Amino acid sequence: MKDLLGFGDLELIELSRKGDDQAFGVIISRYEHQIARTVIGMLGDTDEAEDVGQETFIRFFRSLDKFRGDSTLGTYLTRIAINLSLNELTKRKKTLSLFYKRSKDKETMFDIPEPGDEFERSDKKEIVDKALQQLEPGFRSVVVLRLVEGYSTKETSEILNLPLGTVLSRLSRAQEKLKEILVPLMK
Amino acid sequence: MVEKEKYNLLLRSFDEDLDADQEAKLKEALSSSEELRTEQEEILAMRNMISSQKASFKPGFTDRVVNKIKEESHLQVIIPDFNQTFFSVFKKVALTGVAAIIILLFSIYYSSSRLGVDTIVGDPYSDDGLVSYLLYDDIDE
Repeated sequence: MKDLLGFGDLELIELSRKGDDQAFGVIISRYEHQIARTVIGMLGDTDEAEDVGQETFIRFFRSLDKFRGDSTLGTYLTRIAINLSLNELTKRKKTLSLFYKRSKDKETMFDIPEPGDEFERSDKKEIVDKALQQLEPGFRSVVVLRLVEGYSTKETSEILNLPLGTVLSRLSRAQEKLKEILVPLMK
Repeated sequence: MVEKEKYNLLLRSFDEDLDADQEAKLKEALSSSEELRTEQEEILAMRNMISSQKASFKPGFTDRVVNKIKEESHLQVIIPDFNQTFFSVFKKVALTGVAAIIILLFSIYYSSSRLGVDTIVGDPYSDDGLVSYLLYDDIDE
């Protein structure tokens, strides 16, 4: 296993195509955290996020022969992860709509703690996580790619297959909403 | 209250390359408005907070994925084996059936010197015979 750690992505992919499990294991270890940030950003720290994370690598494994290296492996995997997460959110929405009728009032899915001590005590990670969950999936995916993953706006638009203008406007609106939630807690 | 236009310019400055004119406008607005500077600091702090998010799956993620892939590959080996066996047996049965039909047709042709629906299904009445039968049903008596 140690010998493989120094291998480049393309070499590891080539070995995986030939059936080398260890090489594929190195790929997973290398991108596990990046995919975790993406799917947990999209779905929250849930069991579904783990399932989608696993499915991302399984889908990639199934389509190893299709990978041509036009984009980096990280971007390729992120694209799969985002699409699977969006599918999962659609499924979740359909399931929820069977049991939950949306109230006419502004929907709040979690209690935002009062600024000050409460925030100090709260898990910062959890708060950010929940704040992200307040965004509509289309806005959330833009924030996750741009702010969490650090992709440029152009890369974000390519991954999501959206016009750059749409990405910028979603980013701007999402930031305003996040600012509304998070800034009072930071004071 | 921060002017909407300047605030939008500030928001855009984090993700877009502003042109020289817009950049100058923003710079001027930032130097003259403390409120806008505070907004800038807050947005920056918020973005840092989001980008510093750490996330990870439960330990053993790699093993779980590799095991799933192995299980799936094992299933894929079993399924083609079943399919292969099924289709090879089906092929043999189908070929035998076709051969039997050809032999049957050939033997019919050989015995009656002609090959038609009547000779195959064994209908004893030819068109002429049928008319005679209907008109004179006591023809044999």
